[in-house]
Amino acid sequence: MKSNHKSILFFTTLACVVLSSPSQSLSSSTTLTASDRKRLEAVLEPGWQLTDLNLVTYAASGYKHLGLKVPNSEAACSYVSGQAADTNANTEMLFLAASAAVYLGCPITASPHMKQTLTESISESSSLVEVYHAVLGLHRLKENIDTAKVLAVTQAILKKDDGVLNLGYAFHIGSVLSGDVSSLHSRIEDAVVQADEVDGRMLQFEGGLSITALVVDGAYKLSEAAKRPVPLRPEQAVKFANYLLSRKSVQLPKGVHYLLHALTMFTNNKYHVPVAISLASSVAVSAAQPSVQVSISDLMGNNIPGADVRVTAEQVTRDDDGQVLASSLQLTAVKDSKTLYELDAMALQPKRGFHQLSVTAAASDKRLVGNTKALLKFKVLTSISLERVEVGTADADQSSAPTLKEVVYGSKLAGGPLEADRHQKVLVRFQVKDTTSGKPTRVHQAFVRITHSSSKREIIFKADPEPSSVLYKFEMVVSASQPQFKGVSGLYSMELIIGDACISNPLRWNLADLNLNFPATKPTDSAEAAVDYTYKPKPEITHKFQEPTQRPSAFVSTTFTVLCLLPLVLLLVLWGKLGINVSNFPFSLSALGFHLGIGAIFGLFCFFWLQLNMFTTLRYLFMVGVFTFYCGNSMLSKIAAARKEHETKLVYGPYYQKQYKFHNN
Amino acid sequence: MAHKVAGQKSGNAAASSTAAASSLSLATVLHNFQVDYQKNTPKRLKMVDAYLLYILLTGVIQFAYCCLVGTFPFNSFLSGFISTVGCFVLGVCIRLQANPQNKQQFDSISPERGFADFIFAHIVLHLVIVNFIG
Repeated sequence: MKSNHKSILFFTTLACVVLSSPSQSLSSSTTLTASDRKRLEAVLEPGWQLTDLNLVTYAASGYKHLGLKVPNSEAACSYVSGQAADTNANTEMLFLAASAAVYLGCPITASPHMKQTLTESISESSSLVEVYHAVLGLHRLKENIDTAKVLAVTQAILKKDDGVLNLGYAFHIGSVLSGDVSSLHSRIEDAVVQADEVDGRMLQFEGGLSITALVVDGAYKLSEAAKRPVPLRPEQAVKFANYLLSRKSVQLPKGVHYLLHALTMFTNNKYHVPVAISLASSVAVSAAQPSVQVSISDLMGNNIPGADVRVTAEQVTRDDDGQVLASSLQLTAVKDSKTLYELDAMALQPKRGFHQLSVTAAASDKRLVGNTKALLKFKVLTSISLERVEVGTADADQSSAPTLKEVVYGSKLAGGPLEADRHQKVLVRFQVKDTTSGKPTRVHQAFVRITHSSSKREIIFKADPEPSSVLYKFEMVVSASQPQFKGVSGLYSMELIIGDACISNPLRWNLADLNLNFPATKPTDSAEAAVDYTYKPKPEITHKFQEPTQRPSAFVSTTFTVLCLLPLVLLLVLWGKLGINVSNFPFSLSALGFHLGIGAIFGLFCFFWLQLNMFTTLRYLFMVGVFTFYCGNSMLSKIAAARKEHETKLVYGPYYQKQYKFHNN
Repeated sequence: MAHKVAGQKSGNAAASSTAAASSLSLATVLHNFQVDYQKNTPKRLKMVDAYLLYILLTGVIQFAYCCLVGTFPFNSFLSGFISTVGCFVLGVCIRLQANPQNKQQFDSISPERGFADFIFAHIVLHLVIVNFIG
């Protein structure tokens, strides 16, 4: 990445950090749970088949960080040392074998051959990853490392390519050197500014989990080795931690290896220990389950360092109106658990609805980051009861007072079904009461469902709260709702449905039966009522061509064809009467050709009409046309010349001489 | 229309007779007109007039068909009707050019040249019509 690009990124990161106001500081909201550990273990487990050194190393590393016992450690140890003793083993294999041996707890002693292979790899012609393998391999074999040489080689390679990945390897190399590594430590900032921010709450390097984990892990380890503060702000540490945890569902052994390395580093380094604050109990709080449990842990899901952890609820606010229910409330530790703390939310006498809890976990340990004002959400459920439920009918035109009968919740209207015909309307009135506060309340959903007893066809109406009072009211004018019922009379069951996201006892209650009497319906309506509402294949769709327009009968067509031809006969008759002079036809070649040509052209047009297309027609027309033109031209010139001669003769009379002839054409 | 053009052509004679006796009945006028037409019109023009009458009648029959039966198929009807209208116009044109009374206006165009143009225009017209007839 170019330097100006770097600086832009740096300022963006800076701006984001400044913008995230201190009132709601960043913290991790998730951690490595027991189920996450199980899944990661399942990803690593195939390594113990001892077929691939890579997989064995990742499995050994992962199992160590998860604190698991290796199933066949002796076989694994001998497999690893066998791989290392292989004379063809390259630097990477030696590094992997040495690492696996360390993780498994059966270190390999270096043979001269191994030592030579690794040492030879430390040269400027190698890539930095090879140098990394060589240096860390030597370190894990407990061999001496030539600090000056390694530093020179690393710096030389970094000069050629100082991408984030290479910087990450360089940090790890620096972290195992014994001398002054401040030159490498100063490059940490270069790497960190290249991180991309996601949603203002995560930082990652381009390339994903492996490279982010490698660089962050290396940066902290190098800082510890250099005995200098890590050049990361606490927010940045939390953002990197958030990114790592967002990738905890990784499915590759290599990814698991890097992830666990970095997460473990974040639990036991000297600078920053991000704290994960999350809700451990159900999000719903009710009288039956009155407390909110909060989990305070490090990224690996263990308790945070320090014996004097104080967890405080900074503020409990209701979402609806922002009312503060409590502030600076101490949470009590849950017995038999090192990470759980609880707050008796019902003791605050909250109202039904969503609430926000801001939690701070303080301890004397200065390394803790992301431990203040983490926002958690919970909702308070209360139970409701139905009071003063009245069902009845009234005249639709309100000519008489309604007759309402009271029904107690749980029972059904006594005295048979309610009768209603088209002159009447059905009425239901009820009140919803919050049992905790004893006051009438409103709910998100209040419906009346009316189901036909035999066809089970259901129609659902809304019961609306009356604006002035706390009463819910449902009114159905029978004649007006006939279309919804499709005019089907008969016995219906009437149910009341009450629902809300924040009540603990949503209910559905069959409060009465209803006998609806619609006027006799037209047969079309009953046919519609018989429509089956189950899912079935639709009738097959077949393509329908447009039907041809009706043509006149053959007789009419023929008559008009004859009629159209009649004037032609008339023309011939008239011409005959006028005395057409056929005998004057000049029997020359050109005249014959001309008439043949004209005939051919119209014949060609007939073919064009019947079968030819425009292009072929034009081609033939051109050929015939040229011929006809030539013939016509010579014929007409001859006629014209003859006419001129004739005219001249008329003018000059007996004095006419041939030499006066006009040469017109 | 053919008669109207004929009227124009023999306009001088007809106008003089009507001017002489303005109270003459319609029948007399028509009679005079017919006599004048038979006498003064060249045979060549009479043949063209017969041709124009033929075209006119064909067009009238086509139009009657359209009114009585319907226009379907429309493009066929239209091309047929355009054909008669086009032929009629071209016929009138050649009649105007062939009329000896119009000689001053068409001095540069001989009757033969006019006939050639007539043939050429017909070929183009009917190429379009056959293309359109469907």
